[in-house]
Amino acid sequence: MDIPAAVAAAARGDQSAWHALVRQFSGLLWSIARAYRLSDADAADAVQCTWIKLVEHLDRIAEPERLAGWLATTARHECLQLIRRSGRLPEPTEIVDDSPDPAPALDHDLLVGERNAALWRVFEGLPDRCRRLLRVLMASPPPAYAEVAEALDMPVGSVGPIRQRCLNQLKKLVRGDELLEERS
Amino acid sequence: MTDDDFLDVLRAAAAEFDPVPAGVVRDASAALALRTLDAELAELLESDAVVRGDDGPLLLAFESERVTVNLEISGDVVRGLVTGAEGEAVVETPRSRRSVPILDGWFTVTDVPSGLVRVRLTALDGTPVVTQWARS
Repeated sequence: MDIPAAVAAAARGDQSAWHALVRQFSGLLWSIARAYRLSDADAADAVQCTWIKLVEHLDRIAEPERLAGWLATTARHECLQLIRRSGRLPEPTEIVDDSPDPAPALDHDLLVGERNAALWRVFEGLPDRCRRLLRVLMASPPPAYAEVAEALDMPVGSVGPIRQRCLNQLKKLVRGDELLEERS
Repeated sequence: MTDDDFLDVLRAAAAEFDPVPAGVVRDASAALALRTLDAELAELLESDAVVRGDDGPLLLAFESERVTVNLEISGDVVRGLVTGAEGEAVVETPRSRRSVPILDGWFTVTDVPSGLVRVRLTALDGTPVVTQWARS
């Protein structure tokens, strides 16, 4: 998708170009809002505010080819504003203090069909720092590390290593989940 | 299973258990209609943007070439002091719009839903002016 062309067209009022941008980035923005554990209503509010800010800035986006990063940053600000308003403090995204074990083999059968539900439950129980990073990485289409870094205000170079540690941690939890073990 | 494969599985689970709600996509698609054309933009002055005591009103200051706007937001009441504009102030949220007269530079609107808000004004020379969106 030619993002700069879509931005320019949307700035001229081209609704189909705007739809294309919405289709491309709604998954990322929703994932960011959920990464910050916003409720349904607050997540919808944060995403809508991000789009409205984009409308306001359509003819002033300095680097339209980096639109995803701009959206991620704007969404983070919107989420943090909502969190501040509710008096809840987000935990910082930190390096996970976890020995880098080699990834254990994961039974493929474990991950099909209804087992997704159990996997999702285990994922939701991850420590906040891991849950937050993985939730953004789960966005569809998959975001670039630069966008993930913007969304979580972390160095882009740390996304890969933390991703690896958090996935390892999740794999261990999945293997330790009795419900999953019974079925595997 | 590689990390990339595992993340693909997680992505599929997210699509199943926490998909983007249809209403969120619908609202996003409709947002382009909030585009303002040919209006002078009154920008939020960041230094004054977040002056809020624990329970005090939110104070916001905007400035354009022709107009200044000071907003005082307490709950669902938006009170404004403007210079360089006259006639009516239009207080907009993404879903609502209210026109009120400006009297001696002041206007007040009640029952403003929380969320984003902006104000449209007409400068003394007739130029339409709109403030940036701000969160009430």
